Amino acid sequence: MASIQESPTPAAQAVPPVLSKAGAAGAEPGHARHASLASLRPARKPGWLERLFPPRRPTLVLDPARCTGCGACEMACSARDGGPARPEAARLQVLRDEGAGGNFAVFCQHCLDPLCLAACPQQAITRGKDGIVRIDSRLCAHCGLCVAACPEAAPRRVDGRTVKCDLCDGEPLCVAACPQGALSFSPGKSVHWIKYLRWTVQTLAFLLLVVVLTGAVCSLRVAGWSLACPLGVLQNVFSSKTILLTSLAAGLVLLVLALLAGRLFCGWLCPFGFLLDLAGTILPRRLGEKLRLPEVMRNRLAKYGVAGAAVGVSGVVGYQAFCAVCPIGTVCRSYGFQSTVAGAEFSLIPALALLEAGEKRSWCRYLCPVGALLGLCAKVGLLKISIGAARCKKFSCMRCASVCPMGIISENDLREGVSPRLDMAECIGCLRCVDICPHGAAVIRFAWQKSTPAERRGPAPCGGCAAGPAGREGGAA
Amino acid sequence: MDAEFGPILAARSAGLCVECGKCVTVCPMAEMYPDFGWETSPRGLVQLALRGRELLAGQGLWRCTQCEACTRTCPAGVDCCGLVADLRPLARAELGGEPAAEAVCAMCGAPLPPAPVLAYLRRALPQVPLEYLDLCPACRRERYIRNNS
Repeated sequence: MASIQESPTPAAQAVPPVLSKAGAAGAEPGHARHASLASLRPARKPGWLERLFPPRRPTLVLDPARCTGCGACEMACSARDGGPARPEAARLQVLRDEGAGGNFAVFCQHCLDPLCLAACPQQAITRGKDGIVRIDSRLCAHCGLCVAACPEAAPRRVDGRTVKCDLCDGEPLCVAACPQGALSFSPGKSVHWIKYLRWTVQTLAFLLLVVVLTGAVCSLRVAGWSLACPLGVLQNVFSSKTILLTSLAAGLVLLVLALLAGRLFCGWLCPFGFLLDLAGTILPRRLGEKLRLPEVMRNRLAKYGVAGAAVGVSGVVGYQAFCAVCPIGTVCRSYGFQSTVAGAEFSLIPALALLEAGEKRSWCRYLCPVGALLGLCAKVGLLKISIGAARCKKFSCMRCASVCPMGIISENDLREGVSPRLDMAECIGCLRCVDICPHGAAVIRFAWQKSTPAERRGPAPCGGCAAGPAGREGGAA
Repeated sequence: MDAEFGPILAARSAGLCVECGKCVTVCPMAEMYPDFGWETSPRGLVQLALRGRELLAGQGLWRCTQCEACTRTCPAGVDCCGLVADLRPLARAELGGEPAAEAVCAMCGAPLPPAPVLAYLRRALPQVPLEYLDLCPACRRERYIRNNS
């Protein structure tokens, strides 16, 4: 001990650089003294093939209505490795709510971007090619940081060891053990067919409305039937101060479609929307943050203002003022023999298309007056998209929020474990959320059907866990 | 060696440390803190504890995640993790119950990981709302049920 006291060495001298090569090449200046595991095992980025055909994402799905809280799943899980069946050692936990009578189970959701994986200092947690997030027991130090990092605390510390559901490599014992069929195993979707259908319809609609029938969105007359842009008709009424029943009827077609099926036009048919979607796919992501509308303009009510202004100005100047700059119309009339578009009218289009790198469909979110009119109808329309509370995996998935081009699926709601409500006036009915949801939680419903039960509830003191975490964990098991 | 310190060092066999450094190689703190060094490593903590009370004033004790990897790997039989756990109450008294080092669950008041560990989590996790870090695991589940039942 004496020799130790003689050498109170500063840390820099006491610990010579381990792996100095990696340290010198290390990205962070703070890491100069030792190589970090993150630099030795860099995260794998998905290739283009994987992005185009995303891998399946298996999960457990719980139906709380069927769960009786018997705990058979816990018994089966804890006995998997040949040990005694101890519910408190199970990787999933049944939570019994004596008061309300509802039961619930907490288990790993095998997140898309697992927070436990980000937090693990040992890089012991990986997301396999099969979509299952596992702890590599050879690397795990059992520090429990994954438990602290998980919003649901789904990984568990059992007897000083950290354990986590690995879905029994695809054949979960808990599902087999559940006598009520409350737990089920969902292998996840492999083919997202709505995506391919939508791109096909959008392409065909573009060809039809722009190339074959140039200018068809603005106004179209086929065999006595006429169809016109509702905003164009409104502007016409106000500028010419005359109401033509035929043109009113023509303008109503899209509005009635919006009443029946929401802003289906915006998501599936609008030629400018198609161009925006294309731009969003092609433009590199890293342009992202810089290309956004200024904060002042990012107000969803602005499009109603634009619609009102378009109609008002038309009344004053005596012609359809907005149609002169309308990007939808410009795209529509830009092709073919009837092409009537001059250069200046195109100026809006590249600017708006560039915004796609930042926020998807910025034009449709904040500015489009045609979408505003359709949105008013969709708001009181027949259909809605509902994200069901029981099946939705909330913060552990959030795929719907990440793909929604209109940004109406609240990530904050999902993070708080609440099912988000969708404002149908803003929803363009592209069905990306329905398509991507691996759990079948996002569905099309009639407006009057029951949807998400959970309203946003603020944090309240919880009586059940007043005994502390140890008491609660033990009591819950 | 004062009366409080001695029994703890003896109970955790701190004197057996041969400074082989195996505990340092398994310790997750090496990956958690960019300024990880001798004085905050398990080996350094044991050695500093053998030297006296100066250790109690430092941050080193509060960085440990109590994972017991060092205790499991130690060939000499030093319970380094237990040593840190035992020294923390002393350090708490020394620091006068410094609130920065200790956080409690916002709902039930159960102790949370120490401040440096939570700070690491906030650094490591993506920039998302991390309010849930203020809750203990049991209360997080409680809240999740309440939101979904």
